[in-house]
Amino acid sequence: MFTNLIRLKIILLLVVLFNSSLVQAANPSESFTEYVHQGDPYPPVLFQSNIEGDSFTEKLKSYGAFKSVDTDAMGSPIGIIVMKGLRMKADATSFSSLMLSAGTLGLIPVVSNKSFKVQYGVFVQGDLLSTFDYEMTSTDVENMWSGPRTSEMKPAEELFLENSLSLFLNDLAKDRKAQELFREYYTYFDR
Amino acid sequence: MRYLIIALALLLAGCEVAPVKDASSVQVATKLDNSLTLPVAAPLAYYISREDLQREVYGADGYSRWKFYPGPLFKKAAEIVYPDFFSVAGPLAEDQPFRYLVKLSSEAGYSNLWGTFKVTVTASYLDRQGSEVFKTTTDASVTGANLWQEAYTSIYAEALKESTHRFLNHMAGLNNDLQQPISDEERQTADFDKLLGEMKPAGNGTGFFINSTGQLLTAAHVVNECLKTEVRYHGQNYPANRVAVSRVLDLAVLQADLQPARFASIPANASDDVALGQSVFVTGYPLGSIMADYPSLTMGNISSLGGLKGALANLQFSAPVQPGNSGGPLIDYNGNAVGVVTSSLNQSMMLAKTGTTSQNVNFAVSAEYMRRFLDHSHVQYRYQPLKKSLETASDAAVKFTVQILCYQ
Repeated sequence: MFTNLIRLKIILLLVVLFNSSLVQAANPSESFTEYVHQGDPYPPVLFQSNIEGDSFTEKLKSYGAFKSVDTDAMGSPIGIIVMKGLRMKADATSFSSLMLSAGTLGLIPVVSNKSFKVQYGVFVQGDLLSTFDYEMTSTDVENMWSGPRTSEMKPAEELFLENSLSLFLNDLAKDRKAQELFREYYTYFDR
Repeated sequence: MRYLIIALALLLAGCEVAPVKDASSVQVATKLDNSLTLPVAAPLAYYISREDLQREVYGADGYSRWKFYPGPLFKKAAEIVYPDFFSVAGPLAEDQPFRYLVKLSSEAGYSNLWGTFKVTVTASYLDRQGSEVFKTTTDASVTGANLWQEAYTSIYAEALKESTHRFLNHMAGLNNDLQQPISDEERQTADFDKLLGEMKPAGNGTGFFINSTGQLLTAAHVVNECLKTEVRYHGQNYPANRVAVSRVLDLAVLQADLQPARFASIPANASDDVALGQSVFVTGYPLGSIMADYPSLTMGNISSLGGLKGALANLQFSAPVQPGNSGGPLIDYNGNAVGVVTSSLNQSMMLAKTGTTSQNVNFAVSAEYMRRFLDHSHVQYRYQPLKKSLETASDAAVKFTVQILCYQ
């Protein structure tokens, strides 16, 4: 009976840890303003990213923020690099969930919080000028015996990625260093 | 037993190292003096040596299985922590005002037994005369972090914040000039030799005189990261200050305190610029650390009036260039500087993309954009072509081409 009591306390502790970390990981609700470009377009840029497909690049072009967005213009003095990444958070949710799952030989799935991050970098002549980071927490429910998800994006992450473009362009409009760079470009090159 | 399980659970629950966004989220042992109002008005500059920035740390007792590069994270932590304490804070530079300079050095390590990242940071605070006013050493470590980048950033931030608290508390107990506003003297460029001791050049490039007042044209990337820049002319080193920089064009004008015997002629308009196939040569100081103290000369021709796709200001030439030629003049046989050498095609990229390497695909900023930059910066230049002769042109070129030394 004493052993069963200890077992019950351990399970309760794991459940408490699991829930507290899950609540902490919940994304705060953010107000989102769709970007609308004002004034003349920014200079042409070299664009590189690790995002598969063309839809992301086309979405960026659709804002009309840049004179051109070219993935082959290696000689452009200004470049934008976008990287997306997913990593598991080593927090109480994953630990407690893993313990519960292991205790049931994988019958209970593993729940883990993952950090989905999108980073935009603005470069001039190869030197980093400014970075803009956007992050969301994504919760995954996976079987203990299968490998973790590494590359496929969930619908919420795809939406976050798409919305991050607006966030980036809004932040870019307020970034003093980038705006000075764009003004300098048009000092020497025609609009 | 129950307490062991609880302790283990809490320990593992705290394994997640959250990314550090600002100093307020970092916990340290020393409490800040209550009398201090943050940020303090005193401006601060910080300096991390090149060796520290390029340090590598190995895990697993010398095996390269784990290799970390904590240097840039040390710099990132300084960028996060100091602005919260000082109204003006930035890396030591010609235009960075400061009342106090903090010279930072660190030792970074990793223990693969428990997966512990650790750093020891020594901060030496100097006044503008180079006298040490305070020195402290702080340690920080974290175990079990998921990402080494976030681990090192967070422990460097912790060590720097702890050292800053100790410094501010010490100064608050003394003369407390921390709240006095920035003075004009603090905005002047300080004597870096006095502050940092004798420095050796971290890199070199080439430049060329463009008028009789000692102004030189070079590539911006040769001088962008330099704390101090010198020009080597007739066997002597002269300090040189940045007068104008264009990051977009990768051009810079420096002012040296000397009057050169010769300066380059720059074409006055497009009709004087080079044509496709025209013969040109390059003078410069390639491979400065191993070559003799005399300019080299290589010959080629204009391969294209354009550069890579998207490079509107460049032309392509075939005269061989090496690291150290950057910023040097591209010269025609009338002795005119028709371009500024800036880059070569990246061989690794060519090999990866095409399976073959390129030969003598080199780029320079064209004379048209040199003129736009100099006109916009109100820098004088002159068009004085010589009689067309390689010997005459090269003889003049070696007189106005100089080596540029960059100290970091």
